[in-house]
Amino acid sequence: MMTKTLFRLLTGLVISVGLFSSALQASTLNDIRDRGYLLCGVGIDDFGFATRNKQGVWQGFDVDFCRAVATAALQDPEAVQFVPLDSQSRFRALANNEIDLLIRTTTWTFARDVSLKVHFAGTTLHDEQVFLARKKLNLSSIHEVAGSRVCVTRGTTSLGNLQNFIAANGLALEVMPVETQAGRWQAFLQQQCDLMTSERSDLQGGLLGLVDDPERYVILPEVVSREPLGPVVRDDDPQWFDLVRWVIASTLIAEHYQLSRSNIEQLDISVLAPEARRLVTGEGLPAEALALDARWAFRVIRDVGSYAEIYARNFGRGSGFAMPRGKNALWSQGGLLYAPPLR
Amino acid sequence: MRLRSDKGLNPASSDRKSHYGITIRMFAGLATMMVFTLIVSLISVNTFRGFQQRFDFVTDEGLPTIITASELGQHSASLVAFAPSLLAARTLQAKETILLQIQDQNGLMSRSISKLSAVGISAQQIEHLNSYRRELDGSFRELGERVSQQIERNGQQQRALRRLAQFRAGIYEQTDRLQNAQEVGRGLSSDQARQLQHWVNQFQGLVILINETASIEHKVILRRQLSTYRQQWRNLQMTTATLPAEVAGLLSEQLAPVEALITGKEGIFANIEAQFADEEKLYGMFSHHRTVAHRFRAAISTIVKDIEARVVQQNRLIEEQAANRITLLVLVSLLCIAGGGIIFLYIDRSVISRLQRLKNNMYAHAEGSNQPIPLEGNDEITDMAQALRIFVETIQDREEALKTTRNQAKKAEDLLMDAIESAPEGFVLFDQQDNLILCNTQYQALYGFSDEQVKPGTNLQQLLDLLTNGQQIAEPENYRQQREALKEGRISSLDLKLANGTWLSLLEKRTDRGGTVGIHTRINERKLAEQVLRSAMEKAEAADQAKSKFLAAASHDLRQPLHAMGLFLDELTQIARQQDFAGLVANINSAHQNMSQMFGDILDLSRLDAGAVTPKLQHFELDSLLQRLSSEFSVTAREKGLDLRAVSTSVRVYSDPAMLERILRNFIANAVRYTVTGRVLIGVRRQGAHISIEVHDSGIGIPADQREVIFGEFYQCDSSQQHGRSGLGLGLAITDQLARLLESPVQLASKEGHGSCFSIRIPIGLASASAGDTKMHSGGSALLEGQTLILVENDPQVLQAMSQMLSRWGCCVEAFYGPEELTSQRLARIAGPLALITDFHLDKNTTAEQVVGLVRGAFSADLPAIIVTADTSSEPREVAARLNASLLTKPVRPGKLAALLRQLLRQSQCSDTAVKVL
Repeated sequence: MMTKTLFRLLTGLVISVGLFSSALQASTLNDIRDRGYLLCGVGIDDFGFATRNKQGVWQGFDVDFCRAVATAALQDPEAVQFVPLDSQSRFRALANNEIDLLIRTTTWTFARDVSLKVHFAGTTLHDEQVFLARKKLNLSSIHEVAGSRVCVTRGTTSLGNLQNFIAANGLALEVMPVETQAGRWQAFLQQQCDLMTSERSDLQGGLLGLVDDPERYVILPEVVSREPLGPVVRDDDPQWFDLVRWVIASTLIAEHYQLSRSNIEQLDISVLAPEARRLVTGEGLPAEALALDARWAFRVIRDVGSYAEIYARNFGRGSGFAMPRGKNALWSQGGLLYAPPLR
Repeated sequence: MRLRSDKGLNPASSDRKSHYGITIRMFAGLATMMVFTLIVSLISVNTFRGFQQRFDFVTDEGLPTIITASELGQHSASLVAFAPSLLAARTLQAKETILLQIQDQNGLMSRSISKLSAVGISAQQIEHLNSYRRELDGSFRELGERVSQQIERNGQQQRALRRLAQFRAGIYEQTDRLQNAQEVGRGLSSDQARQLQHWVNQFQGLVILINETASIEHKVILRRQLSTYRQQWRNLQMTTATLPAEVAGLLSEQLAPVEALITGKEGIFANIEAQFADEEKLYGMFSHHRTVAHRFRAAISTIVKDIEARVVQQNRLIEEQAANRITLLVLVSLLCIAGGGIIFLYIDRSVISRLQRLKNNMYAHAEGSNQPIPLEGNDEITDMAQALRIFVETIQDREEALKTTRNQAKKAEDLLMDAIESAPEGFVLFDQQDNLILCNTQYQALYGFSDEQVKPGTNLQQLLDLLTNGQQIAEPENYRQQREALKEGRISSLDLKLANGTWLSLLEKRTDRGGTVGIHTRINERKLAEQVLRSAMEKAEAADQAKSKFLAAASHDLRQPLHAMGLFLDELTQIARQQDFAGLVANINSAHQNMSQMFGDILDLSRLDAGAVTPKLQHFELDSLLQRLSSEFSVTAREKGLDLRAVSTSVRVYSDPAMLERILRNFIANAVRYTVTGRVLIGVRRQGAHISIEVHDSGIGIPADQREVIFGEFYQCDSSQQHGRSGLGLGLAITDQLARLLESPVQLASKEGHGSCFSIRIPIGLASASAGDTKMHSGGSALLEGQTLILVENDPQVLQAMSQMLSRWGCCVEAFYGPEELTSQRLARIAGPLALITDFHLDKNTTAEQVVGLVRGAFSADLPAIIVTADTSSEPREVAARLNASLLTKPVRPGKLAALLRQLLRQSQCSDTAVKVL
């Protein structure tokens, strides 16, 4: 009891000294380990990215990456507390330490990267902003609209992109900013706006989850912007930043070597490529620099799966999205997803 | 003009049939307006119905639908809102309350959804909504169950913790007992006591650990807590093992339920784990519920929007319809107004303005300008225009005719004036009041009148004054009287000598209108010629007079002896009646009669030629004349072996009996003369108001080429020599002259070798009581007996012969030889003479007129006078007429004289009777 109390006192002292000694040298990983679980900021009813099933289990693309980080850092994919966030409060939540990691369909932009004291740890999905329109409007292109109103969520890149796009193309569109993603959908469904713009994945997810009759809507072919979505961390913890980046990279490398949840445990390690072996075993890799054990990547693949598995699970044929990989294919497949060498 | 009039009249008669264009147009216009009005009314009604329909739709369908839809939205929103409050429920009662409220909402929503079917939402959609509703309901139930479970688990947890606290208290009591002095005496060593204290501490740590579990927020932490607990539990067990056995047994006994309570199947950890699981499920359920609710709301909002859109659409449709109808109404109204305007304009153009034009045209025509009459169209106005045209044309024609007439009149007047002007005569025309109408320059020139003096209107008297005062007339004193005589028609013309020596002839004639037209001719030349002519005439007249005088004298001188010879022969015949030389005397007498006859004829003809014979027409009975003639000629006829007969007649004629007798005598004489065998018939044929006295004979007849010439003087029939005694051939000439005087035409019908018929046509006379006169006339001289006659004669032979004859008739003759014997003493001895018989030429100093005046002065002014003369000139006749005396021409035939005397006697008797009656 005494020792515990003493330990706690010491720990508090260390932390306060640590805080004092360097604001730069925060150890998110230690905090997580102390806490016992990861606080991961995700979307609210963000179909395909972060939803809860009927049994209360969190699912989704973003959720899977949260779990991957959790299993790498805490050796438990369940050790995640998902914090649903709306688009406007997400960076505040991160900055306020309410979450350790933000994986909430957040677009990597220059301004966000440099002014919000955050780091984008990579790109999990190369998305693009598109328009959703009611079929009733009988539009085949955004250029055909005239005097329509378009709903967009405030605090997103979508709003700025939209304004630029309207200005650039001289469209007769009235912009109707809505505070939340759910509100945007509601406004759209209540026909307060004729069009809605957001990332393609978001629009498709909404159609899948929120809309009663998705066949009445159509996604227009015009692409407003490129939207590289990825996890965001505070910029005060390079170790944590690196951890998150390499967890994501590990899923890509696993896909590259066709490692998956199903085959990772029955693998004959000897036949693996050296990088794959390194991934599975951690041999020769300085994992301690990340304060991780050698099997972190193995656990990621075992508990969550390769990128291909994650994508297929959430956006593949079985998901209802049925989004082709497109740009989100590996570099080796002609896509944009690229992982630095694991060595 | 004629042509135009025809042209004008022909269409007129054909176009005079009426047209009904304007009537039809008026009715058509009226009908069109009525149709317009009807259309507008129908559209108004239709529009009103549209509005009503719209209103009905809004009230009956639109509003309820929207209300239902909004209700549905509200219900779904509040239904979704119940979920968090359900999650927040901490007691079962609260949960139950919320669930009941949810049920209420569910029921309301169910009704709202079922209402949608009434507003045209398909059954499929409603089923869709209902499935959502049921799913929501189900998820609510599940949520409710989960919440109940949570509450249950919370209760279990509380109970477990309370029990744990009880156990802890029991264990603390145990350990406290063990640790106190008596217990220590039971054989616990100080080490053992320390060990026991250590156990108690460890147990306290466990209890704290367990109590901490209440604040675990993540199952990962719970798991860690559990492993910590397990570690500590193992440590506690180990500590227990170091304790004395009975203590250890005691404590183990005490710990066993605790352990079950904490880590048992229904222990605190299991409970918390279950709570996490439940919570996870609850949130999963909630999330699911939220999704379903979201979709439901989306579905509802789609439906609501659809309904709204439909209502709006329908509303818009109706609005559009209404707007269309209003537009249509306005359009049709405008159209109607326009139509009305057009109709008005049309009527104005086709009726009013045309009428106006026609009116103006009429005025124009009335004012005399000859505008063309507008004849367009084919209606009543056209008829009117046509009528006007006919009227105008008729007027024009008449005007033209008038003009022509006027022109002609003017021309005629000009011609007349020209003629008058160019006439060499002076022409002047006065009206009834003798005011000057016109005169020509010739007239002016003749009298030297100035223009001013012969102004129309100047009175004749003024002109006459001018003439008489101006000394332009040679004999002004007579002039006025002459003019007066001329004016009154007493003289037919007036020859006037002007002061300058010019001769004028004035002819004046009354016009039909009572005016006077005068022709003043310069007759200097004529006067000259007249003078020449007159001198020639005078010469001729002198020669003629000489001849006449000669003839008269000759006849007078011849007559006296012839007259006396006749008287003597008469005497001689009487004497020689019984003597041997009676035959000779008779022959002499006959010769004398012939000679006397021929001589008489010559004288008669000379008298007729002299125009000295005037017929004395009277009504008389013809028969006596005819019978007398018949008996007169029957002797001669019988001698020739002819049958002469006069058919008896009762007709009265109006003629001069003497002349007629003479004519008939000629006829009969000729008939007897030129008829050898056969007969002579005198008959009367009635021809209307006239009779024709015809003398038929069966004589030699007259050749056709000689039928005219026989009436000439001294005509002798070629074969007359054969027929013995012949005359001078004057008979028919005299007859012809007499017939002319009687105005009784003589006709001749003749067939050569078969006979002739001479006839004379005379008027039928009036029936009067003169039958007796003729009888008396024919009744011999018996009545003359005793009548006194005064006879004046300067020829002693004639005086003696006349006296003897009159005395033989029984008259008492007072004979005067010449007028110097007519003394008042002798006349005074004569009483009541019947008449005076005097010779015309008595001597150089005394005329018959004086004799008559003298005798009448002695007796009475109306004493009948008979003048006997051998003078065939007009003088004795004029004198006889002036004296109202009878005239006998020598040689006087005794019968004639007797007849005259008897007539005078009758007249005197009649006047006597009349006097007696009075």
